[in-house]
Amino acid sequence: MGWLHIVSDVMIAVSYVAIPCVLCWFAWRRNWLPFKGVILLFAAFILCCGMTHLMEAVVFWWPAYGLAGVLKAVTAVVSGATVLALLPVIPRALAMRSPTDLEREVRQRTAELENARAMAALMVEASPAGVVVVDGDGVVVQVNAVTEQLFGYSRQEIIGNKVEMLVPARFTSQHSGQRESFMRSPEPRQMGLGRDVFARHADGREIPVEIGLSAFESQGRRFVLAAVVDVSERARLQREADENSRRVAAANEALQRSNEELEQFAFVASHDLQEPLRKISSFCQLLQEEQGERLGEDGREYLGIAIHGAERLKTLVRDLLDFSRITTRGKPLRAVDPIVSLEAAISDLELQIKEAGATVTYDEGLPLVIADSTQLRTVFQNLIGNALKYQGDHAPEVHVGASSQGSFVRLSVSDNGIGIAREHFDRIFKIFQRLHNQREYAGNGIGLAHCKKIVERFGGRIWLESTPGEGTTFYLEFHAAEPLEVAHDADERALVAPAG
Amino acid sequence: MTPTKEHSSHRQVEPIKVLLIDDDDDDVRLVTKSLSNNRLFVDITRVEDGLQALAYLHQSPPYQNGDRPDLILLDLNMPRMDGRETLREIKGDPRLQQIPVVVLTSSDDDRDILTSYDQRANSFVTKPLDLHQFQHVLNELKQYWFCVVKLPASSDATTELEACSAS
Repeated sequence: MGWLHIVSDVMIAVSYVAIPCVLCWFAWRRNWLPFKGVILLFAAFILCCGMTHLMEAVVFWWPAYGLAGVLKAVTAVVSGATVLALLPVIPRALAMRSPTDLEREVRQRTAELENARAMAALMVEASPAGVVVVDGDGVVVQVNAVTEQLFGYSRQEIIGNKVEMLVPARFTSQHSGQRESFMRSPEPRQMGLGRDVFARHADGREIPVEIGLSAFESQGRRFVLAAVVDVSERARLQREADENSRRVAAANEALQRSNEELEQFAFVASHDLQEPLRKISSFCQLLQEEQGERLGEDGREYLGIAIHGAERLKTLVRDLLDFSRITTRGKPLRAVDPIVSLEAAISDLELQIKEAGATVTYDEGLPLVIADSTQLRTVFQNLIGNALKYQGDHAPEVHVGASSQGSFVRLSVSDNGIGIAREHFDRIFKIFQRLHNQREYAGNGIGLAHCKKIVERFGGRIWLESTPGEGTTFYLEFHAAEPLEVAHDADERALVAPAG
Repeated sequence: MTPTKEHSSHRQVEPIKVLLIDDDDDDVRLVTKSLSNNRLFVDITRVEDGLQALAYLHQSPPYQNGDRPDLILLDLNMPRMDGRETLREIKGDPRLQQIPVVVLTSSDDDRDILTSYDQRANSFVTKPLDLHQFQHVLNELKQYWFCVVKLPASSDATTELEACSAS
């Protein structure tokens, strides 16, 4: 009967040792074991209980009641401690979720992650720019369809290789250096700002591109994201625009040259024409004076016509010469008081004004304009002279007015003459275009063309309003001048033109 | 009774010598007419360009017998050597530079005017387009250069003052 006790006790004792060992080993082997402290306490408790039981068996033969008592006491402390340790653990243990819960959560999280990854992949794919993701060593880890299309490779051909395969050969050596410097200060920015950036297509050709760079970190690694946009279309349009600009500039230059040549031609032609003209005129007059009697009446008349023709030709050539000199002999433009030029013109026309019984009036205080005073005088001379020449039934009345139009000054020269029909408004400014023949009104048709050229030289415009039978008003628009810039030159004072 | 010589009449007058340098025959004709038109005795020698002018002034053949002119009328636009170069030569020569040179040309170009005076031309006259003005200008020229101003002392010419005031 005793052996039943002893064997049982020993077996229990062995278990009492084995179980804590297993528990400790477990705790040692699996760091993540929750409540490790409690478990180790528990292991200690079991061990102590075991020892106690062992002592019971031992005491059967050897009455070491003292030791048994100590052991019991230790066991009591440990078990007490275990209970105390357990107490706070209970709520925590209760809060632990079941494996099913955990698994479910894991599955959920995994699903979410999958979705996020799928979304990221979709975003990369959907990017309208070609995406190239490169790791810290310059190896491409991700591309999208646009990249494939842009560079002419399938993604398998790109991913896993160095990004330099996408860079034109002449830049590959600098490129890795550029990559490194970007990694050091990876602010999102445009690659190659201020210069043309090129990509290398699979077939070897270079494509102009714009590349935006940024960096991100993932799982402790740095990556660079490049967004590549093909700008060949834009580059082509830019080239076309530049080409157009060049063509326009060239056309302008050609036009300018042509204008200068024409002016030269007009000058030379009229200059060279004057010599023979002078001869014709002079010798015809000499003939008339010295041999006039011998010619007879018809002869004298013919000679008179020849001389008259020569005179008209002289005026024409001189006017042509003056016309061509408007730009070549024009003075630099500056602030001019139109009143001075106007009064000079009126003074020039004094005789005609008196003969026509005309009245010429003007507003006081005409604003200053940017002009050449001598040429402005010519314009007034022309317009007022015309008003006197093309007079109607009444004595001519000419009035010069002014109004301010923002940064422009508008002068008007109005008369009560015969007027001009609307259909002729454009023609009259053309050189040599006349609306009357010589018998009706003398003239050569250069005056208004002259005025137009002068006014346009000042950067202004000239136009007219007219009612046939009532009168005409010519409008001249000039740039207004700042009041402080008034210039006076000596010839503005000379209101009387030298004779001849 | 011995006849007394009267001083006022028949003074021996040396004509004023003018060298006209102009390639244009017609203009020369006009100028000659105008200059000869009254009681002033003017002796006009005409040459066609600068080379002939210098030959004349230096009395080189065929102008060995040439007289030193009192006044030079110089056209600008001539072949072979034009007026501008001729002017430079004349005014650059210490023996010739005293002779007054009037540039008489169809040009009214500012540059020609400036360059001529720069080269020490004594005056610049543009030939008028109109016959009567032309004649008028030449008369003025005559009046000024032969009656009003004194010509350099190396000339033997004396001017007939009555003829001057009457012209």
